[in-house]
Amino acid sequence: MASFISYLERRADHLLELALAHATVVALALLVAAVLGVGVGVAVRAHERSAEAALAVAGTFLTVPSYALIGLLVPALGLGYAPTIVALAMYALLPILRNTLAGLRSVDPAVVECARGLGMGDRERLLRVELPLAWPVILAGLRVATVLIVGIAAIAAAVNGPGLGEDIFVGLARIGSASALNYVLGGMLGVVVLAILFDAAYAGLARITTSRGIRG
Amino acid sequence: MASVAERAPGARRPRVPAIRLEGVTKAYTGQVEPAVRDLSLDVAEGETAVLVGPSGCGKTTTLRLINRLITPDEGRIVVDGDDVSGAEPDALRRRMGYVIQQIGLFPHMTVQENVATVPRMLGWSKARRGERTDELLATVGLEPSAFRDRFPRELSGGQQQRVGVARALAADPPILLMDEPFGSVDPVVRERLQDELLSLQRRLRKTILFVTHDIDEAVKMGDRIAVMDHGGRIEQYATPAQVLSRPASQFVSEFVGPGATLKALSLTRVGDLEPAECPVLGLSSDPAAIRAAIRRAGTEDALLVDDVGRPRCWVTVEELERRFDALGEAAIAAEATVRRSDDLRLALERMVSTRAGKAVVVDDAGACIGVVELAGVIAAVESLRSHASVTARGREVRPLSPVSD
Repeated sequence: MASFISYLERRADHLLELALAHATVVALALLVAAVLGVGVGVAVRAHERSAEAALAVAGTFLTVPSYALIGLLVPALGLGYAPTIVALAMYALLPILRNTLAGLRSVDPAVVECARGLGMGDRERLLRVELPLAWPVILAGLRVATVLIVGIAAIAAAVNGPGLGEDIFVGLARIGSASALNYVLGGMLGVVVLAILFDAAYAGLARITTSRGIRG
Repeated sequence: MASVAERAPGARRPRVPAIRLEGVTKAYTGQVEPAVRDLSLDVAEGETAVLVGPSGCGKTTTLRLINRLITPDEGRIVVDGDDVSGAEPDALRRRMGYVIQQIGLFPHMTVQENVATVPRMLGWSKARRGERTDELLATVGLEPSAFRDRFPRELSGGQQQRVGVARALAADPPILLMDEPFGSVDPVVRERLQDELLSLQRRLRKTILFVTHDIDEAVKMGDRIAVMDHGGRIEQYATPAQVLSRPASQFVSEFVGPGATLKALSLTRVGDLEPAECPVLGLSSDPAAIRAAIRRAGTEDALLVDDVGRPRCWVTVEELERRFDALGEAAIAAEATVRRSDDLRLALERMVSTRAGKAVVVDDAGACIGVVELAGVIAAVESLRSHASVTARGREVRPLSPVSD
């Protein structure tokens, strides 16, 4: 235990750097997945069949083992950031898409009817009424997606991707040696702390961005 | 019976109706029978027309056709002289206030933001929107400073629907479409909201198309009532008095139900009744004087009032003879009072709930200004019937399909 603490002290700068890179790929992947997930969700919300199909595709992504998926992307995208972000975005898609659809469907039809009846156009209705009302549910989807891919992002080290996976892989490769466990534990601890920080950020974001009129 | 004549708005009917439906048909996909078939209807400017009928008769469909929430398969809809079939729906809808039973306030917006929805879309400045919101909240009976920044979930059902009405009125549209607007509030609140809408309408003179399944509400709110059967077929389109006293078909009389005459009582005010003969004397009057007054008037009893004219009790000659020393206790308390503005339904209710069988008409201060009796109510009903039948045979009968002119 004492050796692990001194290890953390010695490697603090390095671990921080890895954690920052880890957070960056997660954030970039989330951005991509959010744009896609919310966009597709909005596009298919009124068509039951398309919505089912989109959910099935996103669901399939999630069933592919992460190690395999990232590996499969290498021939097309090379090593490093690109395959990592694409793979993570694919994993994040399902929770975001599903919650976008659920959120939009949970909007009271009477409210939408009134918005139309008052002469609100499609675009304005979506931006001013439907999305704001669906927002808490969409945000919950983003939160689940984040927790999910913070962990998966560690696998990215397998393709030279950035992040805390690097230390975990180094440690696993040296299993048996004196410092191996410290490497693995350091990486793991970093991932857990990141996940907690992301979650806290979401709690704050939910408070700030949800209207007082619909806050639970 | 002046009030009946006043309610029939024949005096101020302009040539071009505010809303005109010509042979409108709408079938929903997957349904064999059209929801509305070949419907023609005119609503005159400044009038409240009520579509009333059983559920599924097409009344809500008709309303939604007018603001193009649904598009007719056939026929023409003309609003203020313009055929709206080709109009841009959003612009059209901003010219019409829309209120629905489920209220449909935006839960994530404050009362102020809800009310200012249409003004904001029309590009009003923030200051002007704020002013307009406060004005409207006051109009619908909500204190602006207390309600403007609240969210819908912080309001009662009745308050929510007031905000719904304020939102519909925000940009001062000439037309209001109301789909069972008071259907989701309890009967006490509903009655109050109805009364407030009526007084609002007396000031604003909007063209209102009001949908309900409740014939009592239709009678109360409408200048004209369109009784609808399935498929949007209008069985009768006439004033409330005509619908109640001269139903045009079996369907209408069944829909109106057995209490038609009682319902018609709500169309006449106490002030329109022939006052009954009745001696009115001070409480401390000499029994002999009371007896003399009763004999002179030829009535059974006299009304005694206190020193500011408020009714206290009825006394008969026999009572005077028996216990002239304790008049107050011997007599029947004159508790049944009505005001000139009350309708006859209420007056009748008050009359039959007291042993005296009559009601004292009082002014705002509670002082006696007359007495009404059952005989007066019966006379009013007779007059209502004959009036409606005269007009039903005369100019008041309008063809259901529009006249080409």
